Amino acid sequence: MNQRTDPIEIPRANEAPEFADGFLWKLELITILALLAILIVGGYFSRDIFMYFRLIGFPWLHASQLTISAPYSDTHSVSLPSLGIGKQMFLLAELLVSFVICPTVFLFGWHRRRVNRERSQNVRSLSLDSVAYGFCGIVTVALAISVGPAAFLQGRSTTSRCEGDASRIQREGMMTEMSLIGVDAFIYQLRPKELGGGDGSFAGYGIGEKLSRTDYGEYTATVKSDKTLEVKGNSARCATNTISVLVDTYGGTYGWRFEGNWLGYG
Amino acid sequence: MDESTTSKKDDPETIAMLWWILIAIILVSIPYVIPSRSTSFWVPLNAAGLVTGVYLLALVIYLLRKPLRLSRRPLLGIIAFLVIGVAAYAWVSAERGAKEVAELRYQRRVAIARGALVREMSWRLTETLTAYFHKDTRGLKTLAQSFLRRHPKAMVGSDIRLPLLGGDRKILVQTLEPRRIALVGLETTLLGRDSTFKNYDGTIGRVQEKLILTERGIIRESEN
Repeated sequence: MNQRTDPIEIPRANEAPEFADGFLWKLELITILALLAILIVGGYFSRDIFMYFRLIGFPWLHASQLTISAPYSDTHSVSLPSLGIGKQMFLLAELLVSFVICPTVFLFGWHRRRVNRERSQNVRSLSLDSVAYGFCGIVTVALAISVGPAAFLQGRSTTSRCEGDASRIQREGMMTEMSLIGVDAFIYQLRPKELGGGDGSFAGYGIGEKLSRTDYGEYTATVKSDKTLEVKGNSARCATNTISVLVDTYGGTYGWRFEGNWLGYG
Repeated sequence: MDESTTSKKDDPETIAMLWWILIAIILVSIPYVIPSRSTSFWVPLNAAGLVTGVYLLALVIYLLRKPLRLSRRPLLGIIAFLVIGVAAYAWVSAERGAKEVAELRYQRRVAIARGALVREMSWRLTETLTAYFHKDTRGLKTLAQSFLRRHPKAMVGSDIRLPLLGGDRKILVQTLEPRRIALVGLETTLLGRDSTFKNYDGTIGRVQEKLILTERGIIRESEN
Protein backbone atom coordinates (compact mmCIF):
# COMPACT_ATOMS: atom_id res chain seq x y z
CA MET A 1 0.00 0.00 0.00
CA ASN A 2 1.37 3.19 -1.01
CA GLN A 3 1.28 5.79 1.58
CA ARG A 4 1.15 9.20 0.14
CA THR A 5 2.37 12.07 2.13
CA ASP A 6 1.74 15.65 1.28
CA PRO A 7 4.90 17.45 0.32
CA ILE A 8 4.83 19.95 3.16
CA GLU A 9 7.95 22.08 3.23
CA ILE A 10 9.04 23.00 6.71
CA PRO A 11 11.55 25.79 6.48
CA ARG A 12 14.63 25.10 8.55
CA ALA A 13 15.44 27.76 11.03
CA ASN A 14 18.82 28.58 9.57
CA GLU A 15 17.42 28.97 6.10
CA ALA A 16 14.54 31.18 7.01
CA PRO A 17 15.14 34.62 5.58
CA GLU A 18 15.21 37.30 8.25
CA PHE A 19 14.40 40.05 5.83
CA ALA A 20 12.76 40.27 2.49
CA ASP A 21 15.04 39.55 -0.42
CA GLY A 22 17.36 42.49 -0.99
CA PHE A 23 16.20 44.42 2.06
CA LEU A 24 19.69 44.75 3.54
CA TRP A 25 21.04 45.81 0.20
CA LYS A 26 18.47 48.53 -0.21
CA LEU A 27 18.94 49.74 3.34
CA GLU A 28 22.70 49.97 3.01
CA LEU A 29 22.60 51.45 -0.44
CA ILE A 30 20.39 54.24 0.87
CA THR A 31 22.71 54.74 3.87
CA ILE A 32 25.83 54.87 1.72
CA LEU A 33 24.21 57.23 -0.77
CA ALA A 34 23.14 59.47 2.10
CA LEU A 35 26.67 59.48 3.55
CA LEU A 36 28.22 60.23 0.16
CA ALA A 37 25.69 63.00 -0.38
CA ILE A 38 26.70 64.54 2.96
CA LEU A 39 30.37 64.43 1.91
CA ILE A 40 29.65 65.95 -1.50
CA VAL A 41 27.38 68.66 -0.12
CA GLY A 42 30.00 69.36 2.58
CA GLY A 43 32.58 69.89 -0.14
CA TYR A 44 30.24 72.10 -2.14
CA PHE A 45 29.66 74.41 0.81
CA SER A 46 33.25 74.28 1.97
CA ARG A 47 34.88 77.72 1.98
CA ASP A 48 38.22 76.28 1.01
CA ILE A 49 37.64 73.56 -1.55
CA PHE A 50 41.37 72.82 -1.84
CA MET A 51 41.63 72.29 1.92
CA TYR A 52 38.49 70.14 1.80
CA PHE A 53 39.87 67.69 -0.73
CA ARG A 54 43.33 67.70 0.85
CA LEU A 55 41.88 66.56 4.15
CA ILE A 56 39.06 64.34 2.93
CA GLY A 57 39.14 60.84 4.31
CA PHE A 58 40.76 61.90 7.56
CA PRO A 59 38.08 63.00 10.01
CA TRP A 60 40.65 63.96 12.63
CA LEU A 61 42.28 66.43 10.24
CA HIS A 62 38.93 68.05 9.50
CA ALA A 63 38.23 68.12 13.23
CA SER A 64 41.61 69.82 13.80
CA GLN A 65 40.77 72.39 11.19
CA LEU A 66 37.42 73.05 12.85
CA THR A 67 39.10 73.42 16.26
CA ILE A 68 41.65 75.90 14.95
CA SER A 69 39.26 77.96 12.87
CA ALA A 70 36.48 78.00 15.47
CA PRO A 71 35.56 81.33 16.98
CA TYR A 72 37.23 81.97 20.32
CA SER A 73 35.18 80.95 23.29
CA ASP A 74 35.50 81.19 27.03
CA THR A 75 36.07 77.48 27.38
CA HIS A 76 38.74 77.42 24.64
CA SER A 77 36.86 74.52 23.07
CA VAL A 78 34.07 73.88 20.62
CA SER A 79 31.07 71.78 21.58
CA LEU A 80 29.41 69.40 19.17
CA PRO A 81 26.11 71.33 18.93
CA SER A 82 27.96 74.56 18.24
CA LEU A 83 29.44 72.99 15.11
CA GLY A 84 26.03 72.85 13.48
CA ILE A 85 24.25 69.78 12.20
CA GLY A 86 25.96 69.91 8.79
CA LYS A 87 29.50 69.70 10.15
CA GLN A 88 28.51 67.13 12.77
CA MET A 89 27.05 64.86 10.10
CA PHE A 90 29.98 65.52 7.80
CA LEU A 91 32.51 64.28 10.36
CA LEU A 92 30.45 61.17 11.08
CA ALA A 93 29.88 60.47 7.38
CA GLU A 94 33.59 60.84 6.69
CA LEU A 95 34.46 58.41 9.48
CA LEU A 96 31.88 55.88 8.33
CA VAL A 97 32.76 56.01 4.64
CA SER A 98 36.55 56.05 5.09
CA PHE A 99 37.00 53.71 8.01
CA VAL A 100 33.94 51.49 8.12
CA ILE A 101 32.23 50.98 4.77
CA CYS A 102 35.16 51.13 2.36
CA PRO A 103 37.52 48.90 4.39
CA THR A 104 34.72 46.40 5.00
CA VAL A 105 33.71 46.14 1.35
CA PHE A 106 37.31 46.00 0.20
CA LEU A 107 38.49 43.48 2.80
CA PHE A 108 35.52 41.18 2.33
CA GLY A 109 36.07 41.28 -1.43
CA TRP A 110 39.77 40.71 -1.06
CA HIS A 111 39.17 37.81 1.36
CA ARG A 112 36.77 36.09 -0.99
CA ARG A 113 39.11 36.38 -3.95
CA ARG A 114 42.07 35.14 -1.91
CA VAL A 115 40.20 32.15 -0.47
CA ASN A 116 38.80 31.17 -3.85
CA ARG A 117 42.24 31.36 -5.40
CA GLU A 118 43.72 29.18 -2.66
CA ARG A 119 40.96 26.63 -3.23
CA SER A 120 41.85 26.77 -6.93
CA GLN A 121 38.34 27.77 -7.73
CA ASN A 122 37.45 30.18 -10.41
CA VAL A 123 37.25 33.60 -8.97
CA ARG A 124 33.59 34.18 -8.68
CA SER A 125 32.41 37.63 -9.25
CA LEU A 126 31.57 39.33 -6.04
CA SER A 127 28.04 39.82 -4.97
CA LEU A 128 28.98 43.40 -5.02
CA ASP A 129 29.15 45.61 -7.94
CA SER A 130 32.77 45.57 -9.01
CA VAL A 131 32.68 49.36 -9.25
CA ALA A 132 31.92 49.56 -5.53
CA TYR A 133 34.70 47.06 -4.80
CA GLY A 134 37.16 49.04 -6.92
CA PHE A 135 36.16 52.37 -5.41
CA CYS A 136 36.42 51.04 -1.87
CA GLY A 137 39.74 49.41 -2.69
CA ILE A 138 41.16 52.69 -3.95
CA VAL A 139 39.88 54.58 -0.90
CA THR A 140 41.16 51.98 1.59
CA VAL A 141 44.59 51.54 0.04
CA ALA A 142 45.03 55.28 -0.50
CA LEU A 143 44.13 56.01 3.11
CA ALA A 144 46.34 53.22 4.44
CA ILE A 145 49.31 54.49 2.45
CA SER A 146 48.78 58.17 3.19
CA VAL A 147 47.92 57.94 6.89
CA GLY A 148 51.61 58.02 7.90
CA PRO A 149 52.69 60.95 5.69
CA ALA A 150 49.49 62.82 6.66
CA ALA A 151 50.35 62.40 10.35
CA PHE A 152 53.91 63.62 9.72
CA LEU A 153 52.76 66.68 7.74
CA GLN A 154 50.11 67.46 10.33
CA GLY A 155 52.72 67.33 13.10
CA ARG A 156 55.04 69.61 11.17
CA SER A 157 52.28 72.07 10.41
CA THR A 158 51.24 72.14 14.09
CA THR A 159 54.81 72.80 15.21
CA SER A 160 55.25 75.63 12.75
CA ARG A 161 51.87 77.16 13.68
CA CYS A 162 52.70 76.95 17.37
CA GLU A 163 56.11 78.55 16.87
CA GLY A 164 54.55 81.30 14.77
CA ASP A 165 51.87 82.03 17.34
CA ALA A 166 54.31 81.91 20.25
CA SER A 167 56.46 84.38 18.36
CA ARG A 168 53.47 86.66 17.77
CA ILE A 169 52.56 86.57 21.47
CA GLN A 170 56.16 87.39 22.38
CA ARG A 171 56.25 90.25 19.90
CA GLU A 172 52.91 91.66 21.02
CA GLY A 173 53.94 91.47 24.69
CA MET A 174 57.22 93.26 23.99
CA MET A 175 55.48 95.97 21.96
CA THR A 176 53.05 96.61 24.82
CA GLU A 177 55.89 96.91 27.31
CA MET A 178 57.93 99.13 25.02
CA SER A 179 54.91 101.41 24.54
CA LEU A 180 54.71 101.69 28.31
CA ILE A 181 58.40 102.54 28.47
CA GLY A 182 57.65 105.21 25.87
CA VAL A 183 54.89 106.55 28.13
CA ASP A 184 57.22 106.41 31.11
CA ALA A 185 59.87 108.36 29.20
CA PHE A 186 57.27 110.84 28.02
CA ILE A 187 56.15 111.43 31.62
CA TYR A 188 59.78 111.85 32.65
CA GLN A 189 60.40 114.60 30.11
CA LEU A 190 57.08 116.16 31.08
CA ARG A 191 57.96 116.41 34.77
CA PRO A 192 59.72 119.53 35.97
CA LYS A 193 63.28 119.20 37.19
CA GLU A 194 62.23 119.73 40.82
CA LEU A 195 60.17 116.53 40.59
CA GLY A 196 63.08 114.56 39.10
CA GLY A 197 61.98 114.97 35.51
CA GLY A 198 63.65 116.10 32.33
CA ASP A 199 61.65 119.32 31.97
CA GLY A 200 61.08 118.94 28.23
CA SER A 201 64.10 116.70 27.54
CA PHE A 202 64.78 112.97 27.60
CA ALA A 203 68.29 113.61 28.90
CA GLY A 204 68.92 111.64 32.05
CA TYR A 205 66.12 109.17 31.49
CA GLY A 206 66.65 105.59 32.61
CA ILE A 207 64.19 102.71 32.51
CA GLY A 208 62.97 101.70 35.96
CA GLU A 209 63.92 98.29 37.28
CA LYS A 210 60.41 96.91 37.01
CA LEU A 211 60.07 97.89 33.37
CA SER A 212 63.59 97.03 32.23
CA ARG A 213 63.36 93.26 32.69
CA THR A 214 60.18 91.23 32.29
CA ASP A 215 59.09 87.76 31.19
CA TYR A 216 59.00 88.99 27.60
CA GLY A 217 62.38 90.68 27.37
CA GLU A 218 65.03 93.12 28.51
CA TYR A 219 64.91 96.74 27.52
CA THR A 220 67.38 99.59 27.26
CA ALA A 221 66.85 103.23 26.42
CA THR A 222 69.26 105.50 24.60
CA VAL A 223 68.77 109.23 24.41
CA LYS A 224 69.29 110.15 20.76
CA SER A 225 68.59 113.83 21.31
CA ASP A 226 66.66 116.02 23.73
CA LYS A 227 63.54 115.26 21.76
CA THR A 228 64.13 111.65 20.73
CA LEU A 229 64.64 108.49 22.71
CA GLU A 230 65.36 105.04 21.33
CA VAL A 231 64.03 102.03 23.20
CA LYS A 232 65.51 98.66 22.34
CA GLY A 233 64.20 95.30 23.50
CA ASN A 234 65.83 91.88 23.42
CA SER A 235 63.43 88.94 23.45
CA ALA A 236 63.71 86.76 26.55
CA ARG A 237 62.73 83.74 24.44
CA CYS A 238 65.19 84.23 21.61
CA ALA A 239 68.06 86.63 22.27
CA THR A 240 68.68 87.34 18.58
CA ASN A 241 65.17 88.73 18.17
CA THR A 242 65.14 92.43 18.88
CA ILE A 243 62.72 95.31 18.53
CA SER A 244 63.56 98.98 18.55
CA VAL A 245 61.34 102.04 18.53
CA LEU A 246 61.70 105.79 18.76
CA VAL A 247 59.75 107.93 21.24
CA ASP A 248 59.01 111.60 20.64
CA THR A 249 58.23 114.32 23.15
CA TYR A 250 54.51 113.88 22.57
CA GLY A 251 54.73 110.32 23.88
CA GLY A 252 54.25 108.87 20.44
CA THR A 253 56.16 105.80 19.31
CA TYR A 254 57.30 105.49 15.73
CA GLY A 255 59.82 103.70 13.53
CA TRP A 256 59.27 100.20 14.89
CA ARG A 257 62.06 97.90 13.71
CA PHE A 258 62.07 94.13 14.09
CA GLU A 259 65.27 92.18 13.72
CA GLY A 260 65.96 88.48 13.97
CA ASN A 261 63.61 85.66 13.15
CA TRP A 262 60.11 86.76 14.10
CA LEU A 263 58.13 83.73 12.96
CA GLY A 264 54.70 84.32 11.58
CA TYR A 265 55.74 87.67 10.10
CA GLY A 266 56.86 87.72 6.49
CA MET B 1 18.15 25.49 -4.85
CA ASP B 2 20.31 25.70 -7.90
CA GLU B 3 23.21 28.09 -7.52
CA SER B 4 22.49 29.75 -10.79
CA THR B 5 19.07 30.72 -9.64
CA THR B 6 20.39 32.14 -6.37
CA SER B 7 20.27 35.84 -6.40
CA LYS B 8 23.62 37.49 -5.88
CA LYS B 9 21.98 39.45 -3.14
CA ASP B 10 21.39 36.26 -1.20
CA ASP B 11 25.03 35.23 -1.26
CA PRO B 12 25.86 34.38 2.42
CA GLU B 13 29.21 36.17 2.30
CA THR B 14 27.61 39.31 0.95
CA ILE B 15 24.88 39.10 3.57
CA ALA B 16 27.59 38.72 6.25
CA MET B 17 29.36 41.78 4.89
CA LEU B 18 26.15 43.80 4.91
CA TRP B 19 25.54 42.77 8.50
CA TRP B 20 29.04 43.86 9.47
CA ILE B 21 28.54 47.24 7.83
CA LEU B 22 25.10 47.75 9.32
CA ILE B 23 26.18 46.86 12.85
CA ALA B 24 29.31 49.01 12.53
CA ILE B 25 27.32 52.04 11.35
CA ILE B 26 25.02 51.69 14.35
CA LEU B 27 27.86 51.09 16.85
CA VAL B 28 29.97 53.97 15.56
CA SER B 29 27.04 56.38 15.41
CA ILE B 30 25.75 55.68 18.93
CA PRO B 31 28.62 57.30 20.91
CA TYR B 32 28.64 60.18 18.45
CA VAL B 33 24.97 61.06 18.59
CA ILE B 34 24.34 60.40 22.29
CA PRO B 35 24.05 63.82 23.93
CA SER B 36 27.27 64.51 25.81
CA ARG B 37 27.95 66.89 28.67
CA SER B 38 31.37 67.56 27.24
CA THR B 39 32.12 71.04 25.98
CA SER B 40 34.36 69.71 23.24
CA PHE B 41 33.20 67.96 20.08
CA TRP B 42 36.37 65.89 20.24
CA VAL B 43 34.91 63.72 23.02
CA PRO B 44 32.06 62.14 20.97
CA LEU B 45 34.31 62.06 17.91
CA ASN B 46 37.02 60.21 19.85
CA ALA B 47 34.45 57.76 21.19
CA ALA B 48 33.24 57.09 17.64
CA GLY B 49 36.86 56.74 16.52
CA LEU B 50 37.60 54.27 19.30
CA VAL B 51 34.63 52.13 18.31
CA THR B 52 35.79 52.30 14.69
CA GLY B 53 39.26 51.12 15.73
CA VAL B 54 37.86 48.19 17.68
CA TYR B 55 35.57 47.37 14.76
CA LEU B 56 38.45 47.38 12.26
CA LEU B 57 40.52 45.12 14.51
CA ALA B 58 37.60 42.72 14.83
CA LEU B 59 37.07 42.81 11.06
CA VAL B 60 40.72 42.07 10.33
CA ILE B 61 40.77 39.19 12.83
CA TYR B 62 37.55 37.82 11.34
CA LEU B 63 38.84 37.99 7.77
CA LEU B 64 42.22 36.47 8.59
CA ARG B 65 40.55 33.29 9.80
CA LYS B 66 40.72 29.93 8.07
CA PRO B 67 40.66 28.92 5.23
CA LEU B 68 43.13 31.72 4.53
CA ARG B 69 46.61 30.22 4.35
CA LEU B 70 48.40 30.43 7.69
CA SER B 71 51.57 31.90 6.15
CA ARG B 72 49.66 34.94 4.90
CA ARG B 73 48.01 35.78 8.16
CA PRO B 74 50.89 37.29 10.20
CA LEU B 75 52.03 39.64 7.42
CA LEU B 76 48.55 40.89 6.64
CA GLY B 77 47.75 41.14 10.33
CA ILE B 78 50.88 43.21 10.98
CA ILE B 79 50.10 45.55 8.07
CA ALA B 80 46.54 46.03 9.29
CA PHE B 81 47.57 46.62 12.92
CA LEU B 82 50.30 49.01 11.78
CA VAL B 83 47.87 51.09 9.71
CA ILE B 84 45.34 51.19 12.55
CA GLY B 85 48.09 52.08 15.02
CA VAL B 86 49.46 54.91 12.88
CA ALA B 87 45.92 56.22 12.32
CA ALA B 88 45.29 56.17 16.08
CA TYR B 89 48.56 58.01 16.73
CA ALA B 90 47.79 60.56 14.00
CA TRP B 91 44.33 61.07 15.49
CA VAL B 92 45.64 61.66 19.02
CA SER B 93 48.42 63.99 17.87
CA ALA B 94 46.04 65.90 15.62
CA GLU B 95 43.72 66.54 18.55
CA ARG B 96 46.56 67.58 20.85
CA GLY B 97 48.15 69.76 18.17
CA ALA B 98 44.89 71.45 17.19
CA LYS B 99 44.10 72.28 20.80
CA GLU B 100 47.61 73.63 21.29
CA VAL B 101 47.32 75.84 18.21
CA ALA B 102 43.84 77.02 19.27
CA GLU B 103 45.11 77.81 22.77
CA LEU B 104 48.08 79.77 21.41
CA ARG B 105 45.80 81.68 19.07
CA TYR B 106 43.65 82.53 22.06
CA GLN B 107 46.72 83.64 23.99
CA ARG B 108 47.78 85.74 21.04
CA ARG B 109 44.41 87.42 21.06
CA VAL B 110 44.73 87.98 24.80
CA ALA B 111 48.20 89.51 24.29
CA ILE B 112 46.88 91.86 21.60
CA ALA B 113 43.87 92.83 23.73
CA ARG B 114 46.08 93.38 26.77
CA GLY B 115 48.34 95.64 24.74
CA ALA B 116 45.41 97.66 23.41
CA LEU B 117 43.97 97.98 26.89
CA VAL B 118 47.24 99.19 28.39
CA ARG B 119 47.80 101.65 25.53
CA GLU B 120 44.31 103.10 25.86
CA MET B 121 44.56 103.49 29.63
CA SER B 122 48.06 104.96 29.49
CA TRP B 123 46.90 107.43 26.87
CA ARG B 124 44.14 108.64 29.22
CA LEU B 125 46.52 108.94 32.13
CA THR B 126 49.27 110.73 30.21
CA GLU B 127 46.59 113.12 29.02
CA THR B 128 45.80 113.80 32.67
CA LEU B 129 49.43 114.22 33.60
CA THR B 130 50.12 116.47 30.60
CA ALA B 131 47.31 118.77 31.72
CA TYR B 132 48.58 118.59 35.29
CA PHE B 133 52.11 119.68 34.35
CA HIS B 134 51.16 122.07 31.57
CA LYS B 135 51.86 125.66 32.44
CA ASP B 136 48.44 126.82 31.25
CA THR B 137 46.66 124.41 33.54
CA ARG B 138 48.93 124.57 36.54
CA GLY B 139 45.96 126.03 38.34
CA LEU B 140 44.70 122.49 38.59
CA LYS B 141 46.26 121.54 41.87
CA THR B 142 45.70 117.82 41.89
CA LEU B 143 45.82 114.91 39.52
CA ALA B 144 42.18 114.17 40.32
CA GLN B 145 41.16 117.68 39.25
CA SER B 146 43.10 117.30 36.05
CA PHE B 147 41.48 113.92 35.39
CA LEU B 148 37.98 115.24 36.14
CA ARG B 149 38.50 118.13 33.77
CA ARG B 150 38.74 115.60 30.93
CA HIS B 151 36.23 113.13 32.40
CA PRO B 152 33.72 115.28 34.31
CA LYS B 153 31.33 112.41 35.06
CA ALA B 154 34.01 110.06 36.32
CA MET B 155 33.69 108.63 39.80
CA VAL B 156 35.01 105.56 41.54
CA GLY B 157 33.56 102.50 39.78
CA SER B 158 32.44 104.33 36.63
CA ASP B 159 33.40 103.28 33.11
CA ILE B 160 35.16 106.14 31.35
CA ARG B 161 35.34 104.39 28.00
CA LEU B 162 33.08 105.77 25.31
CA PRO B 163 30.76 103.03 23.98
CA LEU B 164 31.26 104.27 20.43
CA LEU B 165 34.88 103.12 20.56
CA GLY B 166 33.58 99.55 20.30
CA GLY B 167 35.29 96.40 21.48
CA ASP B 168 34.60 94.41 24.59
CA ARG B 169 36.56 96.60 26.94
CA LYS B 170 35.84 98.55 30.06
CA ILE B 171 38.03 101.14 31.72
CA LEU B 172 36.87 101.61 35.28
CA VAL B 173 38.03 104.17 37.78
CA GLN B 174 39.25 102.37 40.87
CA THR B 175 40.92 105.19 42.78
CA LEU B 176 40.39 108.91 42.34
CA GLU B 177 42.54 110.66 44.92
CA PRO B 178 44.27 114.00 44.65
CA ARG B 179 47.71 112.48 44.04
CA ARG B 180 46.79 109.00 42.87
CA ILE B 181 44.51 107.73 40.13
CA ALA B 182 44.06 104.03 39.44
CA LEU B 183 42.32 102.75 36.34
CA VAL B 184 41.31 99.14 35.88
CA GLY B 185 40.98 97.88 32.34
CA LEU B 186 38.91 94.83 31.58
CA GLU B 187 38.55 92.70 28.49
CA THR B 188 35.08 91.33 29.05
CA THR B 189 35.19 88.37 26.66
CA LEU B 190 38.67 86.99 27.23
CA LEU B 191 39.91 84.86 30.06
CA GLY B 192 43.12 85.85 31.79
CA ARG B 193 45.77 83.78 33.54
CA ASP B 194 43.62 82.77 36.53
CA SER B 195 40.12 81.59 35.65
CA THR B 196 39.00 82.05 39.29
CA PHE B 197 40.20 85.65 39.58
CA LYS B 198 37.48 88.03 40.75
CA ASN B 199 37.44 91.02 38.46
CA TYR B 200 36.78 94.56 39.58
CA ASP B 201 33.37 94.61 37.86
CA GLY B 202 32.28 91.36 39.55
CA THR B 203 32.93 89.03 36.62
CA ILE B 204 35.22 86.08 37.07
CA GLY B 205 38.49 85.25 35.36
CA ARG B 206 38.61 88.01 32.71
CA VAL B 207 41.73 89.81 31.52
CA GLN B 208 42.41 92.70 33.89
CA GLU B 209 45.12 95.34 33.76
CA LYS B 210 45.64 98.13 36.23
CA LEU B 211 47.53 101.38 35.76
CA ILE B 212 48.28 103.70 38.67
CA LEU B 213 49.11 107.31 38.03
CA THR B 214 51.11 109.42 40.44
CA GLU B 215 53.24 112.49 39.89
CA ARG B 216 56.23 110.16 39.46
CA GLY B 217 54.66 108.36 36.55
CA ILE B 218 52.60 105.32 35.71
CA ILE B 219 52.86 101.91 37.37
CA ARG B 220 51.44 98.90 35.59
CA GLU B 221 49.98 95.92 37.41
CA SER B 222 48.93 93.07 35.20
CA GLU B 223 46.35 91.58 37.53
CA ASN B 224 44.93 88.77 35.41
